[in-house]
Amino acid sequence: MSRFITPAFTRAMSELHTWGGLVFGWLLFAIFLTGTLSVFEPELTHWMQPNLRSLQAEPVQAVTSADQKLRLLDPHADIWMIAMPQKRHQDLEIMWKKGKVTLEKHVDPLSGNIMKAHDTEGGHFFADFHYQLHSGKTGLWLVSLASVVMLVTLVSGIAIRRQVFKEFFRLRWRLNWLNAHTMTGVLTLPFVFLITYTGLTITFFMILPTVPQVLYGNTWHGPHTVASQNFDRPRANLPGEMVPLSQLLPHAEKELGKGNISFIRITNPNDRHAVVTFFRTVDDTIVAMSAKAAFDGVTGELIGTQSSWNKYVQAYRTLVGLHIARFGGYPIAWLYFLAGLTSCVMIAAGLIFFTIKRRSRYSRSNQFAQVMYRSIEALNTTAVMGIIVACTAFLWANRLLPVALKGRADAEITVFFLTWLLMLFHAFLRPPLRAWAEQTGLAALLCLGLPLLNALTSNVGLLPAISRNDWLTAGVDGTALLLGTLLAATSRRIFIKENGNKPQRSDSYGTSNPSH
Amino acid sequence: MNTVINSIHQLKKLATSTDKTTQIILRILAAVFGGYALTASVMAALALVLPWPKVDALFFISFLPALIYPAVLLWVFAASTAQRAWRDLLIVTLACDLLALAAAWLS
Repeated sequence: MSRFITPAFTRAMSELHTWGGLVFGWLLFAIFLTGTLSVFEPELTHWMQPNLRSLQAEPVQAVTSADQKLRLLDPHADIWMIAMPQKRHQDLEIMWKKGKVTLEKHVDPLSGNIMKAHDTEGGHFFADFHYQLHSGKTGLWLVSLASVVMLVTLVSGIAIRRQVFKEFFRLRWRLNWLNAHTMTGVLTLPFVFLITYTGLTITFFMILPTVPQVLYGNTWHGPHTVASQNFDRPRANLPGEMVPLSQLLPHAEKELGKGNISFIRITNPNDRHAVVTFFRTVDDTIVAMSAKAAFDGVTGELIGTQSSWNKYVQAYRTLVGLHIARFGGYPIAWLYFLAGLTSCVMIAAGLIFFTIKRRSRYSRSNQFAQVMYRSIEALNTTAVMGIIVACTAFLWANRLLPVALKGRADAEITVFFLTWLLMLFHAFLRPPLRAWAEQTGLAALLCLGLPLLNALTSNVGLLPAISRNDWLTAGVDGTALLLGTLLAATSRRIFIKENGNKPQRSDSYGTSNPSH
Repeated sequence: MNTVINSIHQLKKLATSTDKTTQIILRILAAVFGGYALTASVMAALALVLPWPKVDALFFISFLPALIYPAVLLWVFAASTAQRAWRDLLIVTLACDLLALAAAWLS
């Protein structure tokens, strides 16, 4: 093995790690941060729809309400869908699809009335940005490429600093940016490898269609058609009287377990070939694949069930389960959240170390190098602190934009991107360390102010939420307070450092600014 | 005619250049596009060679690209010259493609 580790090899790995890490580090920080937030996607969505608070109802009651509403709203749709209230997803949602249009409404499970929800993408925006940067297939490719570079920088990072494990386990931790980068790197190594490998496997399944093309050709209609059994039937175009869904529920619960139904899909409702399929929750299984039971929608007879799959399908869906972290409830969710935040620190520390290492070298360099160095500093600030500000601004926009605003969901997203852009300008206009301090301070203010804003603009503030046992909402407020405190402490330290630097300007972090 | 000879000459110069910038550009191109071609070729060859049910092959092979692509990228940047990286990439990719063609022809 040592035959390969020549000085030239180490130099190549070092350059790869430095430049690959810098250019893709900006993107990777955004991907890791939004991914970390996506762990609590249901909670964030719940927080962003403060007027959707209904009392807990028995599943049979929820199904009855949804059934009645769907029969009323569109009796002859192609597909009806019902998302059942769950522990972490407490709303009852109905969707119906006709042709290419899918409509969606929230229903109060007790009264059966439609509930008017805020028009918002909710926590789903973070999940969407996490894997496709809110820009479709191009984003998917960019995220995949960044993930490949993540795995490569992992390997090259170990290759150039092999002593790092020894330092870590002998507790030789020093307080500087390089150590912050390498020590968090060792700590999160298993997590980063797991999350990047599983994520990359998922995205490559979507964008590398080689195997389906070779094996299936034109008969390919997506992985789910070959991975699981299909109980649906083509439309008979003969009217059929639908059996009430509440009558089917006990039979479905007998197959899938009581209280385990998370989703119901009805194909060809009110047709003689109507099929009602009940899906089991995946919140307690690491194989992210829903067991299902299908019934004839007219006669109510059981058509078939599926609760086991091909072994490779199970292995693949296990990777998916390990990535989306829904399998272990809150203990696992928090573990992923903390590991994700630590990985963000690892990436940010690497980016900051890049500029610190080169500070004196570039201050003696030519004009072009100085401009490039200044740009890298500004981009670092924007990529790390700018997106934290933008994510918080997204939540603020949710409470501040008028409820009746047309295209409100898109407006929230526009606020996210505009804030990020503003942070970019800010980072270029202010001296580097000052920009860091101010943006960190702004992020802290926005985070700490979030519970206050919530309390002022809705009736699900921290105290009312706690008194009503609404821990999903209170959890978001509490986490914002916690992260806000951390950011405030960080901001204070940067301000102190910046002030301390002022008397000896020659040694200042800001001297590399070409305007000086 | 002269322009053709000229451009061939230019291409030859590029292909043998040891200039640092050229090396880096050649490596990045090899990593992104060569990496894609090699990964897709390995997957296609495996899909045709593995004597398994289609579903087995489809999902088993899906574990591999997330390992192959990064490995290719490391290989491209660790190679002593960009030209060597390109040569190795092309050899392996073509070998996989030939294997896939042979398997498709035999079946």
